[in-house]
Amino acid sequence: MTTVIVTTAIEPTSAQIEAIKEAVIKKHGKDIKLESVVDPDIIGGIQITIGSRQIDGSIKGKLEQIRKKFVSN
Amino acid sequence: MVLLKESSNKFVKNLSATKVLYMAKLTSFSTLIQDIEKLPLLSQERTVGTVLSLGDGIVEADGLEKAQIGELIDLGENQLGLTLNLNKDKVGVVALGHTAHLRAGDQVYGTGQILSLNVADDIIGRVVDPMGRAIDGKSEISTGKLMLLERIAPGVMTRQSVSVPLQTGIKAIDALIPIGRGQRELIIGDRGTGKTAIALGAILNQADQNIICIYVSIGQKRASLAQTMGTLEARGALKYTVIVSASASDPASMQFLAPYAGVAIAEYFLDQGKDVMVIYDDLTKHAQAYREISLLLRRPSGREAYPGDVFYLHSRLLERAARLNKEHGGGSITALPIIETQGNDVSAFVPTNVISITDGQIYLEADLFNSGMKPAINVGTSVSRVGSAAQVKATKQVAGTMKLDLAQFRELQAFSQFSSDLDEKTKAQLDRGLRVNEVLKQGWDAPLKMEEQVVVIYSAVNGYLDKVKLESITAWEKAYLEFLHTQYSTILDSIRKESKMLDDVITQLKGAIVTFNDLHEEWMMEA
Repeated sequence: MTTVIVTTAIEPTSAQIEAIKEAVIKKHGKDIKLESVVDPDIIGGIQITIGSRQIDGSIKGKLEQIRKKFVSN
Repeated sequence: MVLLKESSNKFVKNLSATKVLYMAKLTSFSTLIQDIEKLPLLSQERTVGTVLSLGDGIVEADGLEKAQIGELIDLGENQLGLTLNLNKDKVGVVALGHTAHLRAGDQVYGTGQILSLNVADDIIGRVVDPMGRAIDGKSEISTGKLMLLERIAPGVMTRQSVSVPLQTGIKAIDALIPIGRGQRELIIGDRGTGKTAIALGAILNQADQNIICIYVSIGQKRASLAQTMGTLEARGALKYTVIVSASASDPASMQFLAPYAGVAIAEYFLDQGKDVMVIYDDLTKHAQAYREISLLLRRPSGREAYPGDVFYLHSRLLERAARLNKEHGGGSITALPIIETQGNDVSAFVPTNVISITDGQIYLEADLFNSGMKPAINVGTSVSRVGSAAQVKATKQVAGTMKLDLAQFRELQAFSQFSSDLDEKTKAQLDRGLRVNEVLKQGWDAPLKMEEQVVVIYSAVNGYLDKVKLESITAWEKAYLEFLHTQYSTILDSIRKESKMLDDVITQLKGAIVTFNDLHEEWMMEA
């Protein structure tokens, strides 16, 4: 059983949760346990963590990408 | 909404604080906005781990399933870590910077990047840290090639034996313990016996030898490094030198990485077919930094609490010194590691390891140093196992029997302390030995060219100094070289060009020394 953590900035609606669950099952099979976490720190968007893999679509992650671009150059 | 505003405000503040420099370069704020708009901001996938515990610069994290050994881990706040332990359920990461912002439960990310540093031609003349970042306050190193810190040493088929000399400019070394390009020669001695001075002297002498020098400073005081840098700059040696520094106040992980960074920079130039000399100052502190990390990672400890792989730690580093053959560019890396002993104990763990890895040692002794012998090289116990194949013919001609003569002299000297009346022959031998020994004294910052060394040693071993007062020999040598440079420069030119002493040059030189000695009655002993 793989734990899938879905992090959002605001409470997701149950319809949204279902949609996410469906998408994850499509890719990783039925053997998952979905956990929803609300973390205002990510500002907006969504982070999905499957085991030790993380798909980061949060505003915080994107701002971080911008920062990296400028710090490294 | 308020939250969003607050955090983005905080972020912009952060951004402007860290990138003041970048902002200054921008013509206006609008170009910055345009730059940001052009960035492809996609959702990204990465490996994530959770911090289980942290302390003393060691972070233990679970997750990070795909992490490799030597992979850089993003610890957040622009800090990086390095994976050193991989377990089934957790990863041991050593922080390369501070970890003050981390808490247990925080997330860290894999970067998929194996530890490497950026090297470009303009790194020459600069001071960098083991990550290749400039720390001398000048501009950043331009983007060149990424060099792996851990690279496998060149194989057997790519190498050739040592055949070109590396002139250190120090008479005692070039004549008796010659070093060849591609060799690994250890400099070993107690603290304050002039180990660093020999290394710096060797750097100073490379001004016209077409060698790039890399000085790796490990765990030294920042003040000493500033002094070293000042000396090199003042003597014009920084033009062909790179300094890699992990000072005493840097984390142990940086001190551990510094020598590998040094040799990685050397390999960048080796790949271009150039000759490089790397000085590791010193590997004792390097082993200690590695011991610290190993103990904190709870690896089993062995002799002197060093971990089991401390031999491999140094052998894999020093094996990367090489002389490549023509088909592989013909470049070389010469390694001069330095080891500091305690109370002259060369049988301690780390000294014996490095002695057995290297192709020879230069022993420095505190007793010699205190008796005024500078450089304090014990020529009796110092050896060079491969360098004699590379020694210049001219030096060989004059120094051939010198080592034996000096050994005999020392034996006689010890023996003669017991008896007061010596026969004439013994006395003459003692006098000769004293003078040859005196000639080996030399200021560390006064390297001599090969031809200068040859003419000085020639006069000493052939008895032209027997009449000179012992205390006047330093003055004699200085004036003698000046005399030859002004009046007999053809002799020096010939030795330099031919790399050996031709018969007619020897005759000329004999004449020159006699003329010079006649001019300087004041330095001669009364008959």
